[in-house]
Amino acid sequence: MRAPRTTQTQVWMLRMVTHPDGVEAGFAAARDEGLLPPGVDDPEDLVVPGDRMTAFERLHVYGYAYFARLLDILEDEYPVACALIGDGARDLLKRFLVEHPSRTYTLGRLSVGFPDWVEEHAGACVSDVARIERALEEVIDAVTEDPLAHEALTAIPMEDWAALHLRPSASMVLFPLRHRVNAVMNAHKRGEELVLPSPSPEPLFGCVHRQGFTPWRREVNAVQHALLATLRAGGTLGDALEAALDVEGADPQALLGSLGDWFADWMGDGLFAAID
Amino acid sequence: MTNRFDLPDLGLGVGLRTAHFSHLLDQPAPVGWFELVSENFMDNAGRPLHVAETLRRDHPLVLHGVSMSIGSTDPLDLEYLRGLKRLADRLEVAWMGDHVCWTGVQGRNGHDLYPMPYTDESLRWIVERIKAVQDLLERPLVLENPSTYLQFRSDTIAEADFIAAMAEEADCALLLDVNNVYVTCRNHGLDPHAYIDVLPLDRVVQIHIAGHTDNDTHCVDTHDHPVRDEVWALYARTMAATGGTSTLLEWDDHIPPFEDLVAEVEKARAFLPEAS
Repeated sequence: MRAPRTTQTQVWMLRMVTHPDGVEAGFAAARDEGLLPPGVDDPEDLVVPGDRMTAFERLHVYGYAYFARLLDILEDEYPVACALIGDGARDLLKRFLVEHPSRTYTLGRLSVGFPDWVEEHAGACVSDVARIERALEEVIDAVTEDPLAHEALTAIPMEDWAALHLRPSASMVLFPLRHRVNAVMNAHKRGEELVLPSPSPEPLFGCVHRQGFTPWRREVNAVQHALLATLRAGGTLGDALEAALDVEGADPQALLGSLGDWFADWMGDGLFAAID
Repeated sequence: MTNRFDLPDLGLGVGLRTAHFSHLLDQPAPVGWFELVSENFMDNAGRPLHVAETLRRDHPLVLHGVSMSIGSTDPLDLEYLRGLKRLADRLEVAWMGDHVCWTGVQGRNGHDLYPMPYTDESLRWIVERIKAVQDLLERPLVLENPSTYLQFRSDTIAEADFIAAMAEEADCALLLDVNNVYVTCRNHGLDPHAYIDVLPLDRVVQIHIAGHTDNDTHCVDTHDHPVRDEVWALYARTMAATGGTSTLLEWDDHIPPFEDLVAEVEKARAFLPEAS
């Protein structure tokens, strides 16, 4: 079954109400693109005006709602990135929305591409912040798990640890960063002035997870990242240690000296869910 | 009058919103039931689902979506529909539904409840879609009359007649939003009582009440005010005609404390059949 006239109506209406320059520009665009029925040269040929509203004003109700609603959502998802961008933030979000209109049923995926996109338009530091903010959105939706108790690990004889599959929380997200932007996130939370950090001289990664219903974010170095990424990929603790030692510049003595503290911190923060 | 689907009268309920999660986890909720916006729970295995499953122990739940796009001429989104069914089964909801509308076309989603062109062609189209979705979901679909801000010049059927015919031909249930009836009729110079008189009330299994904003030139379904007197009047008339139907208060912006929400929906009790 087909519904050609219904399709045509829906196509021109969506074109008009999502046009960034307003429904009048949307009408012109729809006409130029051949989306209107033959003979239509006035919006009142498409939409019935009323005593108090023209056809364009009626369309504008939907056009206004489209940008207001979706831009509000993007601002809520990226408060720190928007604060760094400053006065032009909403205009930039609008450009993103125009270039990346939603193609799924869920608004949860509306801004998946924003961290990459914003790098070209506002720089790598804003992109790093956006990457953290996107990760915070994603971990909120992840499966809820009880964290692994530290005792569950210490109850196992140390000589067996290398073969253990220590499973990170399903909510854990790891991603590369170029700047130490966690400090920017903290400053924003405290209402302090935001200062853009210099690029990190060392490889740097973001790690975001959820303990209970509270999301946590931290920065990890390349060695820590190798450990966590290997465990998340299903490797054993022994595999993770090997991967960490393979990191360029990794110091075996320093690594062995830090491992206990790192894992104690991570377990205390609920970064692991189970021993498989 | 009981509805022809033998779905129960759940009494007075409210929409479950994030702002009330903490309150609802801390103390019993003095309402009959909750309505959940389907998409806020479908892809989320975190706190929202935890809250829903907690409330489910003592309250019936109903799913009410905004993304089915049942009137769109795009193919049905099977990923969405299967996710919806999984959620409905998991939460053992009393019923589930969406709106008589389309939200996007040609793969783009405007995330708004756009008005159908009311024509014979679109009626045949939506009826076939509803039948297909009901088969997939294995339950009747409960579809809500939308608030509309424009009428297409090409319309050949009045909105209420379209919805009545749609419900009869597709054998679906209806959610009668009396605030939407008021807003739509006010925007198009129609008689809201005549609108309701056209609908097959034995198919109405749920009623929505909500507040709206009157901008003088037009009304907007903002869900950010108490229910207005003119909407209570429509509600009273409808309840008298149906003999009692599950009633839900929607409040989505400037959300008040939960106690205030309960006080507002309790005003409906004065119009319940046993009160008269």
